[in-house]
Amino acid sequence: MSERRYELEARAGFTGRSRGAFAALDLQAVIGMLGLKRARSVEAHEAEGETERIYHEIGQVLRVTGVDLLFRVLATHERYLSAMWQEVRPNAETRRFEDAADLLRAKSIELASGMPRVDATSRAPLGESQRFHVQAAHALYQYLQPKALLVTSILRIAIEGDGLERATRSSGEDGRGDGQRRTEGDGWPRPEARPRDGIDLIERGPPLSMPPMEMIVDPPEERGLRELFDEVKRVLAMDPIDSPYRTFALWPAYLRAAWEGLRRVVEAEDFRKAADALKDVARAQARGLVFPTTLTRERIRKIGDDPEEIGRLLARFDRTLPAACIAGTLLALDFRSADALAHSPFPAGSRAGWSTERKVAS
Amino acid sequence: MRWREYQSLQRVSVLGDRFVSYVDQGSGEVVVLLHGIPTWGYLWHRLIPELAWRRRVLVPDLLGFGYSDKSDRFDRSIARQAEAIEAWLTSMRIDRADIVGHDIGGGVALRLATSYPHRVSRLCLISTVSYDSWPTEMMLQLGHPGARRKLSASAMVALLEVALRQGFASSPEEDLLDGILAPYATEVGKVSLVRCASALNTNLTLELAPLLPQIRMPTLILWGADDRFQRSKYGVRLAFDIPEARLVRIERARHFVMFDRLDRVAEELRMFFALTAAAAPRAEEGRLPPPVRQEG
Repeated sequence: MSERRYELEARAGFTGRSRGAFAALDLQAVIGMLGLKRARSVEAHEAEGETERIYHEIGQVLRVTGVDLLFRVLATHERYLSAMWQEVRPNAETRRFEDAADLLRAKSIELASGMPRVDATSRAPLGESQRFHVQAAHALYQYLQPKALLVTSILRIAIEGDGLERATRSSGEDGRGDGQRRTEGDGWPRPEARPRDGIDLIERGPPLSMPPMEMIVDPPEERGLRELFDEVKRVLAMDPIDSPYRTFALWPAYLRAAWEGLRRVVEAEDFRKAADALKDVARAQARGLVFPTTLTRERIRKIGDDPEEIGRLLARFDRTLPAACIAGTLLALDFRSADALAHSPFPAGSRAGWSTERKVAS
Repeated sequence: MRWREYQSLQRVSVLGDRFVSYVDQGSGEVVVLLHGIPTWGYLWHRLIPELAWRRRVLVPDLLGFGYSDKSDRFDRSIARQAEAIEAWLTSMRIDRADIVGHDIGGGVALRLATSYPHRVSRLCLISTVSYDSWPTEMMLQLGHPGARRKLSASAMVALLEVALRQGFASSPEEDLLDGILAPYATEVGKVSLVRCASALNTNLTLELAPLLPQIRMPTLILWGADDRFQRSKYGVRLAFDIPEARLVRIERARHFVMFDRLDRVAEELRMFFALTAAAAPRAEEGRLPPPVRQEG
C-alpha cells in the first residue's frame, strides 16, 4: 500500500495482530475493512518517489511552477499517474499541444467576453504590489488551466476507448506504425518509442517571469475563508477546491469580491453552455494531437488501478476545468483587455535537436 | 498597523526577471531601511512614521523575503542582495541614500558601504551581522535543504514564533509576530525562507573586515544591550574598526530594538541625520578609496 496515500480512520476492534490475516485479502476489501479513506490529493511538497519525479517533469514539460489540481488528485492513484504521464508527456512536449492550449485560452476569452464583468477590484481595491502579484497569478493560471483541460480531454478519450481505435487504425501489419509497437503480454500498442523527426517540440522549463504557484492550505485556518471555501465547493461541486481559489485567498478581500461577482455568473445557464462549448473544443483539439493515447479501462485494470474510480475523477475534471478556464478569464479581464489576454502570457520557444523519448539513466 | 494594511501600501519595482516590493513614505532626503531574517519590510512599520515626517523613507523587501520575488531559482546571499539593492536604487533614480540595516540587512548595508560607497550618504547598523557573528544555530538548521521536507509551513512558523520571542525584551503582541511571519506561512514562503537561510554565509562579512577602516561615511551603530542573537561585542568591534563610527548600546532592549525601544531608536536616528553631514560623493565613482596608510 506504499504507493497509495491514505488517511487512516480508526475502526473499532482492529488491532495489529489482525494485520497478518489481511495479507491474503483483496486490497479493496482490506481498504473497506480498515476503514481507510484515500487522501484527496498529493500536494507538491508531499510527493515522494515516482510521484515526485513525475511532478518535476510536469513542471518542466508543461512549463509551469506548480502542479495543477488534476495531477495532484490523480497522484492518489500512483500507478495510473505513472502510466498517464508516460502517455501524455510526448504530446505535452509538442508545439501542437501548445497551440491547442493557446486555442482553448482564446476560446475561453471569446466565451467570457460576452458575459457580465466581475469587477472585483472596484469592490476590493489592491495596492500596487498586491495587484502585481494577483495579475501574475492570473497569468499563471491562464497558462496552466487550458493545458490541464487538454490533458483531461486526452485521458477521457482514452478511457472511453476512442484513442485505442485511432491507435490500432494507424498500426501496420506488425502492429507498428507512427512509431508504436506492440508489447508482448498485453496486446495493446504501447507508446514506447516515438518518431524523432518532423515533430516541432517546445522548450522546457517554467519561464523566469512566471510566479511560484503559492497557495494557502485547504481548509484555511481563518474561519471566514473556510466558510468561503465551503461555499465555493458547494456551488461549483468541486472538492478539493481548485488551486486559483487557494492562491487568491492570499488576498482575502479580493477573493471575496471575486467570488461575489463570479457566483452570479457561474450559476447562469449561459455559463454552463459556454463551459460545454469549451469542453467540446477541448475534445476536438485532443483528438488532433500528434500521438494517440491508449490508456483504456482495460489497460488501467491491468496496471492494477480502478478504472471506475479513475473514470469518475476524470469526469469531474471534464466538468470543472472548462468552467474554471472561463471563470479565470472573467477575473483576468478585470486587469487586462480581451485583446491583451489573447496573447499567450508565456510564449514557448522551440526546442531543436531533442527527441520525445524519455531519457532514463541506465 | 496590521500587516495586511502595510502590504496594501507596498509598491513594486521590476528588475529584469526579479521584482522588489517596497514601501515609499514621506519626502526629502532618502533613507533606506533594510530588514533581516526571518522578517520583511513590516519590521520597520512603527519606525517609518517617526522618520517620514522629515525624510523620504524607502523600505524594500529583500529578494526572497516578504512580498518581493520568492521564486526558487536565484542567489539570496547578502552579496547578491546588495547588488539588487544597488540596481533597485538605480531603477528608483536615487543616486545616494542613508542606509539603515538590521540583522542581515546590516550585512547588506555593510556590503553597500564597501562595494558601492558612492551610493551611501550615511550608514546605520542595528544589531547587525558582522565578522563571524552569524548565522545562528537556528538559521543553520533552517537552511538545510532537508528542512523543506521535514517542516510544514505551519510548523516552521510555529517554531520561528517561539524563537523570535527571544528577540524581544518583553512579550510581543501576537498580531505582531503573525505579521512578521505572514509571508512565510505558505509552502512557497517556507521554501523561500529555507533558501534565504541556506544563503547565509559568514565569509561574506569576514571578507569585509579589511575594508571596514576604509568606510568614510558617518556611521551609527545601535545595539540592544541584551541582544541574544547578535552579541553586542560585535558592535564594539565594528565601532573600533569603522572610522568615525559611534556605538550606542540601548538598555532594556534585545535584538528587535526597534520594537523594544522605538523611542530611543527614532531619537538616535533623527539626531544622527541632523548632526552629521552626508558623505560627499567621491571624485572617482565606483571605486574603493585608497587603503589607509600606516605611519611609522
